[in-house]
Amino acid sequence: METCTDDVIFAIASFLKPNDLVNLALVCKRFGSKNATSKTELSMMEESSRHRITIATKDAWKNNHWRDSDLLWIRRDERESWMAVHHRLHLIQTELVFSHVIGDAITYVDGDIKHIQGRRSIGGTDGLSVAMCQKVMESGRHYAEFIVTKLGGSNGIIAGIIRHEDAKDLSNRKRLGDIIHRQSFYLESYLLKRGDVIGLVLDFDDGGELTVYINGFFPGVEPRRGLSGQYCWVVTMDHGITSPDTENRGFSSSIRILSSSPI
Amino acid sequence: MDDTNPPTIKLISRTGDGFELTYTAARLSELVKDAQSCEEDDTASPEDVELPKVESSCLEKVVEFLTHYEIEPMNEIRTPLVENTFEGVVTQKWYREFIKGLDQSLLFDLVTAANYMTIREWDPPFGDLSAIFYSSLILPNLLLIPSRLTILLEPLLDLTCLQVSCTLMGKTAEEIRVMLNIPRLTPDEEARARQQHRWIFDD
Repeated sequence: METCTDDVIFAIASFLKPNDLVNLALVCKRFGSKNATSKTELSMMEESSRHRITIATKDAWKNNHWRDSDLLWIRRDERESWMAVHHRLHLIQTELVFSHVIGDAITYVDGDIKHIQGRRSIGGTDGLSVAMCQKVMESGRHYAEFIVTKLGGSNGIIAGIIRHEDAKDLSNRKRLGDIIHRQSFYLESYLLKRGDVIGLVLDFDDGGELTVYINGFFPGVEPRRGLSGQYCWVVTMDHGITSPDTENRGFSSSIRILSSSPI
Repeated sequence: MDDTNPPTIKLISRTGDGFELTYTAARLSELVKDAQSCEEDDTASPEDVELPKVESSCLEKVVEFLTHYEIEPMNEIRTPLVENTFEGVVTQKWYREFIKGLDQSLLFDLVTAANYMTIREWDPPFGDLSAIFYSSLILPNLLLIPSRLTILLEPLLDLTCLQVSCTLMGKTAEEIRVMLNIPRLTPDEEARARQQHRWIFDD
C-alpha cells in the first residue's frame, strides 16, 4: 500500500470510518503527517475527511435537507481536526442523533449527541428549548425510541415531531413552542420513571398518524392525525421557570436516543 | 458491424502475454479507448493495446472483470457504507467471488491496474454532455478524489479498494503496519500523531 499513488490511497480511505482513518494516519508519516506539497497542507487522512465533509455538505444542500447555515453539527472550529468533524458527520449519517439543540435550557450530556439533559431556565423569557434529530421523514413508516435516563425537577417530557420548514426558522422560539405542542405529546412526570422508554411511531401510509407508547404500551393518548410534509423528531422538557435567585439551578431530566428506524 | 462476431481486442501485459476480449468490454478502460487512433470509426478494427505496467496475472483478472461487467454491470458502491463487511456491501455473487481468495499482493496489483487503466462504468444513456447533470442528480455520493474530478464511477477501483478498506477496518495502527509490512513511527512521531487525534481516544 505504501507504493500506491495518492489517488489510490484516497480511494481506499473513502470507504473507511473516521476511527479507521485515524488508525491509518498513525501507521506512517505519509498517511498521517501534514503534506507540504498539497494545497491545503493537510495530511492525506485529514484531506480524505475534509473531502467527505465537502461532499456531504453539497449533497445536503442539493437535496434541501439543510441549508449551509443549518449544518451546525458539522461546523468546524478552526483548531479542530477534520477527522473530528468527520466523526460527527459519520454519526449523523448512520445513527439518529440530536443534531440540533436550540435554546440554553437543554444541553448534551458529556458531549454525547444522543443524550440530552434539561436545566431550569432562568427568567424563562427566551422561549422553548428543544432538541431535534437530523432525520427528515416524509413518507413511509418511522419510529424512534428514547429512554429516560434521569427524571427529576421537570413537570413533564414533550416528545413528537416538528415540520422541517418550521425548524429552519430557529429564531422564533416562542412560536416554535406553539408548533411543537400541536404535533407532540406532553407526558407528565408522574407517568414516567427513570428507565422508561418513550416510543414514537410516525406512519404516513396510514393517513399521517403519530402515536406515542411508553414501554411498549399505548398510554391512551389520542394520536395526532392528518400529518403530511417533512418532519423531524423533537424532544424537550417542561421544567418550569425559576427566578434568578433560586438556588437549585442544576439539571433536571435527561433523555437518550435508544433506537430508531434506519436513517 | 457483424453482431454475431463483435470486434475483439487484445490487451498485452508487461511480459508480452495477450488477453483477448470484446472491444465493448475493453473500452470501459479510458486508457484502452484513448489508445485507439480511430475511436469514432465504427468500421475500423480496434488496435491491440500494450500495458507495460500490468503483470500477466493481474491483467488476466482485469480482463475477467471487464468481460463479466459487460454481461452484468456492477452495482454502485455508495458511501457511507451501510454494512461493515465486504459481503454485506457487495451483494452480487460474481463480484464477491471475484475478489475472494485474491492474495494481498495480487489485490494491490489489481488496485493499481484499475487506477492506471481508469476503468469507468457504462456511459449514461443521454450522452457525455449530460453526464455531469445525470450523475449529480442520480448519483449524489460520487467517489471524488481530490487530485482529479471523476464524473463517472470506477467499478473495479471501487471494488478492490473496498476490499482493501475492509481488511483495514477495526485494526490498530500496529496491526496495519504488520499487515502491510510498514516500518513503525518513532516514539516522538507517534506521540505527536496521537496528540493530534486525541479526541478519538477519548471516546
